[in-house]
Amino acid sequence: METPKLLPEAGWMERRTLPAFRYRKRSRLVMDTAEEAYVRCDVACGSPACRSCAPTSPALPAAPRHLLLPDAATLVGCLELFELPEVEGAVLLSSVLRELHEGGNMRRTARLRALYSDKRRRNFLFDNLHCAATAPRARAERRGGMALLAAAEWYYEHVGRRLPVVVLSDALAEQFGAAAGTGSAGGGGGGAAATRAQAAQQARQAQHAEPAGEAEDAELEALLSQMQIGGGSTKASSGTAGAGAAAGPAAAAAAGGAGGGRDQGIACLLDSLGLGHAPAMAAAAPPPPPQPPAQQQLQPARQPPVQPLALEPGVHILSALDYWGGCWGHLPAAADVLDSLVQSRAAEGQQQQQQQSREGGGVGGDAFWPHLSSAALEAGLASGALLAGTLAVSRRLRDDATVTVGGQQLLVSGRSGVNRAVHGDRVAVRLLPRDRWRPAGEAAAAAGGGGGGGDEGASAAGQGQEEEGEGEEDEHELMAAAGDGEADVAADAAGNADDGAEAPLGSAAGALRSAAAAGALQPTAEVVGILQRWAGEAVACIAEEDERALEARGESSRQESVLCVPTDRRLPRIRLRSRQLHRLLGQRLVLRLDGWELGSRYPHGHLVRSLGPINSLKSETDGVLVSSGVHWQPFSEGALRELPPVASAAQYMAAVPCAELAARRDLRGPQYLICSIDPPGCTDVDDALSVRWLEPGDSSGSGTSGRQLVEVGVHIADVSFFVRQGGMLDSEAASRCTTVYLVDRRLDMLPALLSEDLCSLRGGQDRFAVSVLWTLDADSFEVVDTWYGRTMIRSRCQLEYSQAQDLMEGRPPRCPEHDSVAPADRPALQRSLRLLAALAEHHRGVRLQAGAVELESAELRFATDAAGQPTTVQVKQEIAMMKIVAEMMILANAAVGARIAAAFPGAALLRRHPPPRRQAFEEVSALCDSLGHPLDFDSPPTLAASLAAAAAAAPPAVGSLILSLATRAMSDAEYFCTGEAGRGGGFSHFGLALPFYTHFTSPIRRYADVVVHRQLLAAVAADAAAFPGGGPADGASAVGASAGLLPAVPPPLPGGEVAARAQVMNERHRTAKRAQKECADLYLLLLLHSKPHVESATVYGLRRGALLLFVPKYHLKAVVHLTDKHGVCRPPLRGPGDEASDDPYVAAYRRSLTVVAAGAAGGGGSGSGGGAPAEEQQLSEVSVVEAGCGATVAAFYPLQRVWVQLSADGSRAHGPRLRLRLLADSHPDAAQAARMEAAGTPAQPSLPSASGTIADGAADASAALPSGEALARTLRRLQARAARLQLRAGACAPGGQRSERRGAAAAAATQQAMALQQQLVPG
Amino acid sequence: MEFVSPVGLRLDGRRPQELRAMRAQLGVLASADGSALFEMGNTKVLAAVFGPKPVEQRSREDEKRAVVRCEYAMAAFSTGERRRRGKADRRATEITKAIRNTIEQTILTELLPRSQVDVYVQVLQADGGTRCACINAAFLALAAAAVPMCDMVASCAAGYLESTPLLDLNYTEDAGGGPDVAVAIHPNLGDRLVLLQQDSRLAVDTFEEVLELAVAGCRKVAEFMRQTLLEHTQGLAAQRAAGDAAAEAAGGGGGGGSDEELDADDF
Repeated sequence: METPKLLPEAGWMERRTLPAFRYRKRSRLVMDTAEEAYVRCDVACGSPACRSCAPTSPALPAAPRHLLLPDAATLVGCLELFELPEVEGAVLLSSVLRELHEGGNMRRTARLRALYSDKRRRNFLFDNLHCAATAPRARAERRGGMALLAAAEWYYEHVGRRLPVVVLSDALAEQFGAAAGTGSAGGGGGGAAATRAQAAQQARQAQHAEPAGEAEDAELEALLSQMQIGGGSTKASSGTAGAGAAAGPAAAAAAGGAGGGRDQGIACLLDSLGLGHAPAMAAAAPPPPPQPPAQQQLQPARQPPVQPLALEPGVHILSALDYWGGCWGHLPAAADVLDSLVQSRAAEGQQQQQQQSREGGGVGGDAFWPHLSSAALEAGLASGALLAGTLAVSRRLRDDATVTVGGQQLLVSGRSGVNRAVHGDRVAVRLLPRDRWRPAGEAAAAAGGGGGGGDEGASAAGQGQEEEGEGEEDEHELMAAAGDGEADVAADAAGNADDGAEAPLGSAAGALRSAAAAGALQPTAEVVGILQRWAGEAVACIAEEDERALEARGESSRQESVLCVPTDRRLPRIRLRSRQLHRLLGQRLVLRLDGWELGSRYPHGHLVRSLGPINSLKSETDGVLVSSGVHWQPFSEGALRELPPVASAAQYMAAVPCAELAARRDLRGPQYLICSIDPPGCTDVDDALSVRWLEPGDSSGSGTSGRQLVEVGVHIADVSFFVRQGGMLDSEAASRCTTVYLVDRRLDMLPALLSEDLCSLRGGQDRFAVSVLWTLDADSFEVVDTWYGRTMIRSRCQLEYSQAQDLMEGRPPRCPEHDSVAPADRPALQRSLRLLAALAEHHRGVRLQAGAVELESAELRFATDAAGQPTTVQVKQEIAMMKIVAEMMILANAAVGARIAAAFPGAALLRRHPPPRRQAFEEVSALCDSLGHPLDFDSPPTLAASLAAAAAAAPPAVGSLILSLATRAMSDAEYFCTGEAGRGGGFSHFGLALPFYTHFTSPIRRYADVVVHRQLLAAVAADAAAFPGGGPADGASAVGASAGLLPAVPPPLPGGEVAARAQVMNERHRTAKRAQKECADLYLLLLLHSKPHVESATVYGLRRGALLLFVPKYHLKAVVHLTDKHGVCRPPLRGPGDEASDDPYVAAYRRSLTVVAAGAAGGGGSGSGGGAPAEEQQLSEVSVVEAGCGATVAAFYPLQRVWVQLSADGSRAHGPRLRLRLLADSHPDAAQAARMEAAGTPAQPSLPSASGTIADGAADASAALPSGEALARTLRRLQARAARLQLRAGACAPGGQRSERRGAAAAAATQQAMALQQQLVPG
Repeated sequence: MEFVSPVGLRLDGRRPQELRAMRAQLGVLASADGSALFEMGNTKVLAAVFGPKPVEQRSREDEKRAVVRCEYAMAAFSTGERRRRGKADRRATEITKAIRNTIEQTILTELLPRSQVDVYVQVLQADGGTRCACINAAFLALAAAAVPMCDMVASCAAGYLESTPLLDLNYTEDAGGGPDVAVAIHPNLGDRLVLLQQDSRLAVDTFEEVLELAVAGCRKVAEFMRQTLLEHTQGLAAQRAAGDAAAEAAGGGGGGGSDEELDADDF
């Protein structure tokens, strides 16, 4: 330190110590301390006009009309109003902020801080606690209004006694009554005037002492006279309260009750402040809350004694409502916010009243009620007074939940209604009386509109506020998530209303049935007891505020409790007590819920483990696994001990006992051309295919010469040979059930030695297999013989899909040096593959004929960098060879399924797929209707055919949308045991159109296949025992089995056991799928988080205020809300600058927009049983309109193509979340994406023709639609359809539900036709 | 609330580079050889020095230099929540060592062989920066006890909160979780650093900035203590002059008490 630093001289002039206290939130300890205050005279006032103070960086406006000094309650209560960009010139006092801080009201810290640190807002933080003129000398002076008033007077004085200063405080207004804050009685007004007069008088005296101030005096005089007029009139009105009208201004007062007089007084005051908007105010000011007459009578008596207060004449005390209503009522945004504030206050009051009025009380603090005793619950459930179901909490509004009872959705809303139940609990509910049911449409509107307006909007906004502390409300969700949102709830409710067959017994059920009949009301219920707690584990992290508090305190080993925020939005925050909290900071935790006490706001839980730091890929992926219920531990030692004691398969195969070899059919000869076809990089090869051309005389059994016979084999790794039933390894595999493939890892079902080596059917190596060999006619594919059994194989080559495809089509290998195929084998392989292709095609045709549905689900593939971060994503490419292999596997599965079903009619493990419910198809069928290809539900084949036709007719993006929607509409396939399948549904597989199906072909990664292997082998062994003598017996076995001639064989596992395992398999299968999907979602979001992507999307549905979008590139269905949670419009982005959603100026522009939904055919308010969703489907246009001039900013139609920006923002507690923003076509990113698409993918089927006809910059609306002739064809079809529908609507019974629906559909069709026509005309 | 408002004022009204108000009083205890009361804002510390005196425990005796013993304690009422704090808890032990190290480097121990100096420091009121206040109080008490020292020792802390270096943190700021750099210097020996403690991580650049601020604060503390000592000495001198005059008036007093003298101008 060469030049010693010199400190400036201390600038403070006086040190004061005031008694203060410190409050420890957690230990609830109040400690007395002394607080220092260094009082100084260099505290700036923030006014740029002031010469005596140093200029400051956030400064007050140069020429404000008045200064605003809010108190703590107003500041917090009206924060949204202060945040309006128009509101400026607010002086925030450090005493006020301190008060908020000490009151623990720090949830809005960041917003408050933005209020005074954002320079554009022109607000100023005045440190009145340390300014010599205003610093309190005693603690009493610091609190509440005293400091506020002192600061107000100082300001008035300081800025030259010219500028009115408004103190905004309900408490002060009530106490000193400048504008009588709460009461609407005249006494308040009169009192206020008296105070004012008194104050003014004193001020006048003071002014007389001063030489200057003629002008002020005059102004004062004017103000005074106004005030007295106002006061006089109110006096008059209060004097003649019931007697009737008085003359002059009092007439108005009498008309509006006493409140009128008050308003007038305020109007005068505001006028004098130079900001009166009297007419606007009259319109916008909230009406005074209606008071019962009795209370009005009491008012005068309740008035506090008016205290004389000597105030400067330019300092006005106003209550918040008066000020905002009066000064800012002309601003619609302010009026809206104010209105919602008033409403929420009213609602709060009401809620409190309700709480007080509810009998039985006894609950301190929160609105929870004791649960019923278990005996009472049992009795209630038995009698039907209570209903039982699983609680499903909404992701959007955590306080709303549904319980499904016998297919009927019951709405459980509010914290007190949910009453300490959490998502996933099995609860007992009591139906609420009918008058508290909610209109069915309301829930749907709330879900769809994102809190669009009205009461729902207000409550949603309130909700948003309340949850501010831990982040934000859901705005966009993956559609899968929305699947359990209320929209679907309502749809399901409406759907179920029609059949209502499974309604349960009992009185409550009776009420439910009547509800179903009425249809329009959504029944509501409240939770009265918890039958079974949700047993899952919650992935969470410590709430941010608590974490900060902990960090500030440093390490301590005291036991403290914190709140943890679960990643799953449906779970409540969980209180966690621990001594080691400092070690859990910033970690992703796994918690288990312990319970929820009556008096507690949050449930308490305990720590299970910590997964690692938040936002690290590993811990987040682990979190996905935990939350989707996949448990994975390393293999147990006992299980590993059961593995063959070898290091590699070669070692094992070298020492295979002869007996084992003798028991297997040896397929290692040169005539068996066996190869495996798998995706690139596959290590667990569990299937291989072979084709052997038989000499005409060579065929076994009924070989008729002249027929070319061929033996086709499917060879599956013989896992069951290594995994002995009942062993440790077996039970490990059974508990894992499936290998889970995540983006960054694979959770194996079997140890690597088996899955990657011993069982993996590698090229050129001897392996054990279980084979299915068909002897077929090479031309007609008629099956001559089927053989099942254990084999020994040596795969000739390990092919990748693309390699096999090339080989089949006779193309030379792409990279010959890596090609494992011997050139000599190529012609034979090509011939075999062609045969397989033909065979697969044949079988596929047969299945399609029988009604198989071709479904589509996208699998995303991620490329990751060295650190595991995703870098690119693409949808898996479809290669024809995949379908061929899949078809062969289906063939084998079906054959084995039939075989074991025949052998073990009571214990076979099969897989079935129930036919879909028709209601689930509503969305798809609406979409297909709009395309002009209505679905035909008559029978599976017709449904499949119509679905395929619709998908083929639509543009590719829409086609895949249809298929993926249909996939979602399908019910899930499931494993079952044939002996236990009595509950209907049959054995058949709907999607594949097969009578028997099972899983046989992937035993390395699915446990079901292992079980099926054992069953198959047991069946075959039984055959062999029954028909000793080799070959012919195998041929006869199929025949014999189907004829029921076989002796009864004991199955490897009894039927009951198989059924239980099937249940576990289904469950594990589901969780694994969920984990895989969530993991893929996580990576997609991480990718989007690192770089927003702009993609094209198709609008496939319209809601009021929201669009349903499909992004073909990621196979992503999502909702884009056109309004945010406050009901403010979110127009498509026009440029990069528009994105700053917190920018007040952009916000002001957005507020001037409204969303208009058009074309709700059939009248939105018909209120018939058709249900809201049906109507919503038929919106034909949703547009964003500038409210002022009526100009349309953007309009959206069904099947329109739009550009969206996909991004993800990281929320600490909930991980990254998808954000979708619509982009206007003119947005540079959208334009670039469009250019790239046009340049990069000219081969895309539908686009070239479309882009050829569309003029530059023309609406993208038509881009997704076929153009020219196709367009005309569609138009004709639509018109015809409209006419047909109208006809049919007329034919139906008038007024009926069907006729209305048809009419609506007809109108929609007409409208679409017209829209198309318009497009055609310029083209 | 933030620790530094947009207009640059801290929670207690100071600017970032301002110290709290200091107050010091010497010779507050009659029983001790030297004592001092030192206040930094609301932090109030009492120090008492006993010695130099013969070593109590013979085994500890050092024939080359003096033994310095130190004891630090917080009064039960010194913080808001009343609780008995032992002398042996981790924090107290650490601060004791810091104080003892600092004053051991300052006292010319080799001038006092086979002797012992006891320093007791008691925190009466704690509001952040206690260890610095303790060092300052100990120094003043040592000076009052006329223990030979190589230089003054002045101590002060600086922290870094909301990307602002802040001088002399009070409790609220200390609890804000930022780093706290406690420094003691010998101001007349080229600002030699005697103590440097830091309890959190800081970037190197920031650290230098904060350290510089803390050293500048130390100089200011030293300036204040020098002034206090000067006044104290002047008071003593005036007292003695008055005593001498009284003795002379009484008739022929001796010229004793010269060992009480303290030449503050040395510093």
